[in-house]
Amino acid sequence: MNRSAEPPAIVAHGVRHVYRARAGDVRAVDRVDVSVGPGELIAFLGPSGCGKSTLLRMLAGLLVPTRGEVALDGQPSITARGAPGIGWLAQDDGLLPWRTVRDNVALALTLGSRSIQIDERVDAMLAQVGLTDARDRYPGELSGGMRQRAALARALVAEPAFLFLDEPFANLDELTRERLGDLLLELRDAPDRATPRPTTILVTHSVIEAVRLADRVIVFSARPARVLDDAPVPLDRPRSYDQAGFGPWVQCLTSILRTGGADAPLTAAIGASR
Amino acid sequence: MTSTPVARADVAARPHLDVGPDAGDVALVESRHFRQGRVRVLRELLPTLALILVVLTAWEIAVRVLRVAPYLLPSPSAIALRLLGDPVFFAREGAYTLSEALAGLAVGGGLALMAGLLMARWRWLERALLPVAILAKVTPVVIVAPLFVLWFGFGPLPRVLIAALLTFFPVLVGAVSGLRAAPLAARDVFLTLDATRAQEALLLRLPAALPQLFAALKVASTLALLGAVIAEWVGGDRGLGRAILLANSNLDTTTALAGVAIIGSIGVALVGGLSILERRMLFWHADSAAD
Repeated sequence: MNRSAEPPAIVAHGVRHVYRARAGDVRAVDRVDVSVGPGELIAFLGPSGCGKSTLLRMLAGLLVPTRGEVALDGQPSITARGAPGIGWLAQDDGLLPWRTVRDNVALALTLGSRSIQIDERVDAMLAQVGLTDARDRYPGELSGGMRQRAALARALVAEPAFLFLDEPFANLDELTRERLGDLLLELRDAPDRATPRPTTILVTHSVIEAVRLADRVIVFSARPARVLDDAPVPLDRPRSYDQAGFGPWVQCLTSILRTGGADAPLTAAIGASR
Repeated sequence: MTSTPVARADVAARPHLDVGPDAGDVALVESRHFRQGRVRVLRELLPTLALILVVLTAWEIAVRVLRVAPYLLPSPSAIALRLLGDPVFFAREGAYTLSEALAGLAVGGGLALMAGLLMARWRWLERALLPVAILAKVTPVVIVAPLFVLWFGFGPLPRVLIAALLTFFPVLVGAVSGLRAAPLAARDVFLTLDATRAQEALLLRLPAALPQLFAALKVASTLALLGAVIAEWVGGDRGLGRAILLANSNLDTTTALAGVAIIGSIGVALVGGLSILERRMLFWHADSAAD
């Protein structure tokens, strides 16, 4: 699965999570093993409410698993916060409404124990996401797409080693989704980065988005989340809808989702034959 | 604001840089909102002013027609004359009472905010301290005030402390609930960016708590004023509360009511001032007084 010889950047082993609720315990994630190589972009694909967001939060160190271990670059996830650097972006952008776009992005460089030359890096990042004109605006004055761009800038300005995205483009229109997806790929591959490409996990319920963006797709079952399939997407970049193989891959993954795993052997066969 | 617009060539090559459909409309929305605000304020005050005028006129007429004795109920014109006849006295005494109230607000509010921050951090502290705070709030001021004068003398200190005591509980409640109101998404961001607890409190929780804090402060400011006035009754050497008390004992109802009018105005000014400050600081808040 992980073809490179380097040790995996993200490892989850036997991870389980149970939410305690008044009506009874909810098992969100059930014995999941995940391994992500450095620099890879993985998509977590699954039906709504299946627990993939819970898994992502455990990987990012926002949640402690009820059972199992999570490690980033060999260190346990919770304590690893800060050392390798994490970028986080969710559907709710989490921008502070009382700060300008610029000040929001600068937060990533001022929080924690860092103190880096801020202005230039923030302005450069804003230029890359196309928000230079909006830099002194407040989040309340921006459209959804612009807000997510600001949040993306904040997530990447400190050049983190890991990037975790929880359905960030879910409530945007199709065109904006596409554009932001392209922006994400572009920012990851930016040639003037000082550090290597961030290992990225993207949680999504859009099969098309997964096929467009991911190196590898991990498909989850309905709640409690179990891994149904874990397959690379062997399409050349840049990917587009009219690319040969794009349609079939989307159909394949969609049917895996629909049947809850009955088609898993088919994906493996396609992957092996390329 | 000088800015370099994204060049056409850039947008063509990287279409995802197109800044977005709403960008042009932002400036338009901003200016309209601001202009509307000023006119709105005047229009909002009109009904209140009209009502006050009606009440005063009716009062004036009633007193004259019924020939009510001035020591029972003076006419508004008599009260106005008293105010205009010795403006320095009322201004000075009023300023004194106001300063006690403000000092009490600062002390009580400051302590309550600190307590709120600590309680947000350690939940068990909240369970432990809340009953104490309620006890302080529920004890009648008129009983506590003489005790404070006994303990702290006749100077301004007991009056400031009483005002602080009345301020403490509402601001504490506002602080505790406000500090908890920080949006979850932003908290996630702060966690993943490795913020220290102090950074989270200062940069996220406190600003997010401002709407609740302002609401609590408005309530607390009127209580602080009340506390200062009552404290002056018990053991004051200066201030409007004491002036009103003295006037009452001399059956000088005109002066007493003049003092009451000033205190009322001070209260309105306090809350109004807080509202203006709120509007400025909470421009980002959806439910703020601006609309």
